[in-house]
This record gives sequence, C-alpha cells and structure tokens, in this order.
Amino acid sequence: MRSKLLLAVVLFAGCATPEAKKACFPVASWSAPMMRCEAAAPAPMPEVKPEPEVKAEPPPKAEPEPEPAKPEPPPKADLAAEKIDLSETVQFDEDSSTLLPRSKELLDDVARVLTEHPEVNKIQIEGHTDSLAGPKHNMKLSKDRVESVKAYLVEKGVDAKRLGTKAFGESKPIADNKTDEGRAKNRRVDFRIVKKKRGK
Amino acid sequence: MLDKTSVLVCVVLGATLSIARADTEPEADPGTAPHAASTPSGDGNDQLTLPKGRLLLNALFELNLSDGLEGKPFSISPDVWYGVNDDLTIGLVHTGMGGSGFIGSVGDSLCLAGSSSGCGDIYHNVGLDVRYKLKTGPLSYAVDGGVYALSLDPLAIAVKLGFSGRWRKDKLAVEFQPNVFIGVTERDSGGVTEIINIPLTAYYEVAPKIAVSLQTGAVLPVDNTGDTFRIPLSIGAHYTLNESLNLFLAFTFPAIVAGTNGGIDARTITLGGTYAF
Repeated sequence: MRSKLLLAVVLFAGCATPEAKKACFPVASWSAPMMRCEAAAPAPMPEVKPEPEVKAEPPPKAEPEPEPAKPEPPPKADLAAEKIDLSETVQFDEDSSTLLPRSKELLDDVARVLTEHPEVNKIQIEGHTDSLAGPKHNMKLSKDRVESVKAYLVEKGVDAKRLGTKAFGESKPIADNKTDEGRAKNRRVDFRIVKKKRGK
Repeated sequence: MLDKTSVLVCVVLGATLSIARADTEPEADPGTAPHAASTPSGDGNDQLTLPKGRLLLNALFELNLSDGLEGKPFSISPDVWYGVNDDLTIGLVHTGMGGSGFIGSVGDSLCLAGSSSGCGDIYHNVGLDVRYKLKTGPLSYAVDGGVYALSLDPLAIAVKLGFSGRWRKDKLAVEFQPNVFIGVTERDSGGVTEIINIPLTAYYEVAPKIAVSLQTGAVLPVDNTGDTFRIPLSIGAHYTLNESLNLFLAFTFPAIVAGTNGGIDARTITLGGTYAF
C-alpha cells in the first residue's frame, strides 16, 4: 500500500500541467516550497477594430525588393477620445510604488503620446488597487503609485502641469476581487484626458 | 523486504522519468535564462506556496558526521510538493526541513545505512503537509499544518500546526517558521507529546547565483523543557543552477546548546537540491 502511494505521487511528478508553468522559480531557501513569481501577467490587448477591406494588390514584381527596414514594435500607448489606451497594465512591485522595468517602457510610450499631442492640455493619472489589505492602506498605496507614475513622466520630459493625479484605492473595481485574475485587473493605473484643445 | 525495495525503485524511477521529461523541453532562450527572479535578490514576488499545477521536488542527502559515527546513519529523503491551486499547496514530506523547518536532520526516510548503522526501517517516517498562502511580496507568509507519522512502527502520529514567513530586502532574506507538533498516538512510548520548533534562517546573496545562509532557533519539547531543549546551528551555501534547480550544502550542529548537559557533539552535513517542474 505504501509503495503504491509513493509510486503514484512520484510518477505524478512527470505530469505537472505544462500550461500551468508560469513565470515562477524556486528560490534558495530551506522553507521550500518557496517560489518567486513575476508580477501578474499584463492585461490582454484591447480589442482591435477591423480595418476597412483593401482591394487585392497586383502580383509583386519579380525584381528583388530592397531589404525591408526593421519593423518598429507596436506602440503600447495610444490616444483615444477620453483617455490614453494602454496595451498593458502599469505594474509595480507588490505592495510598493516601485515601477517594474517593463512598465517603465510602457510609460515611455505614454510620454511619447503626450509629447506628440500637445493639444491634450491635461490628463489625470488614476490609481486603483485590488481589495487585499485594508481600504486605508490601499488608498495610500494607490496615491503613492500615481505619484510614482507622475514623477516618472515628468522625468521623461512631460510638463508636470499637464499631469493631475487621483487615487481611488480599492473603491472602483472593474473585475471580481475574489480571483487572482480579477485582482490583477483591478490593480491598474488609468490615464484620463480631462482637458483638451477644441477642434483637435 | 520486497515492499521496501519496490518503494525505492519507484522513487528513483519516478524522479528519473520526471527529470527526463523536463530535459526534453526546448531550452530557454539564452537571453532569458537563468532568470533573475530565481536569484535571491531578483525581481518578483516571493510566495511560500506553489502556483496551481506546479510541482516541486526537494531531495536531500543527509549524512551523520559526529565523531565516531561518520555515515551512521545516512539517508536520502525526498519531499514532493504540489500546487493544488494558487493558494493551497500540499506536500508529501520526509525531511526534517520540510517538517520541522530545521535543516540537518539525519536518518529520515529513506534511511539507507542499515540497522547496524543507525537506521531502523528504510521507510519509517512520512508526513502530509498543507500550506495556505496568506500574503506574497517582499514580506510573504503562509499558514502551515499537517499530519505526520513520525514513526511507522509503532505508528506515532502527530499533528503539525505552523506558520511560515519570509522577509527580504535587496540581498538579504530572513525566514521564520514556528510550528508545533502535537502527538496523537504513542505519546508515552516512542512518539512525541508536544514539541515546539522555532527555526530562524537568514540568507545573503554574495553573487548573482550564490547565497550563504545561517540557521538557528530552538527545539522545545513541552515536557521537561529545561532538560530537553536544544538550539541547532547550521551554515549553508546555495547555488542557483538554472530557473528550475537550486542546490545547497549545509553543515549543522543539531544541538550546539542543549538542556541538561549543555550541548551534544553532534554534526551533520546535508547536500540538497530543489527542482521545480
């Protein structure tokens, strides 16, 4: 009986579900299981609007084409009517206002959008958290985070007068706080346009 | 005897199959491996449980180095942990590290030195442990409990209640794992009554893949504590081989200070590996 139990468990080691292999790694520790995981996966890309149908092009010419230029990575931030759309979420170290490196790249794109669109006079950086920890703690955390985002954008050349901040803590969830996935969606920073020159 | 042999064969076969399976996966892009998150000071959130569906194997080679008792006994002990969901992890535990939290025990299942060298049965202790995640991040903690057969013959069952916590900042990490074992059977004849374990471990990253550690704490049997307590001391070195595998070596004084006679000249060495599937 004992051997059957052990056999089942050990052979089970060969059957760990591959799709569950998230970006978590064992850490040097004597408290195993002890893992370190990357922050939650970025939010899914926003829905892409279908482009207008294009007529079929004539067949390509036989002569060799010049070497194509390297495609630029798609922008992670785009100007929409009332906000700046992001293809990812701004992420921080857990329970901290320290920006993760990849979120700095995302904010570089936000800074670019603001530079390219001077008609956007002012945006509001809005910080939200999930419902873990208390409301008071979350309010402070979201405040620290929006200030951290503002400071980064100012560092990147955006005029501080164009950047307002507002912290909402856990008060405006957009997903279920009972699941990891929902909480990841709720931990977010939005960029809302509050003042824009007319006619643009 | 056949039963014990088959147990051993199963362990070796299962582990081999699993590792072979992992080896067949395509290698990670050299630009991304090993990942910084697997080093002690890397980016990311610490957690004391496994993500859903992940499996982790701890395998320890434990050797007695006490004067006159070198190699008596020695043991190879596996712990297998599985993430039932993102919050709950269960483990089949044989090592002292997985049970009490203290590194440096010796003679756990599978005790391979034979009865003349300090082993009773090869397979003589096992525990089912459960860990529930409460918080992740630079400060992470979880509650922990389980049912342990500290001896299979006679069957000495104990219930474990505990807590695991870890705090890290930059290159330093500290772990704290207090727990209590409460004897259920054989309390008066070979089992335990109540034992409080308070392991405390500090880690320091000396290089991107290398850390050193120091563990101490207290083992406090509730009965006659003044005579039976002991304070262990371990020093260790850890090496992160890749994103899945960590290796470590620990040298332990299991009772550098102890009750009654003020300490026992006991020493052990542990060579271990942690592999995440």
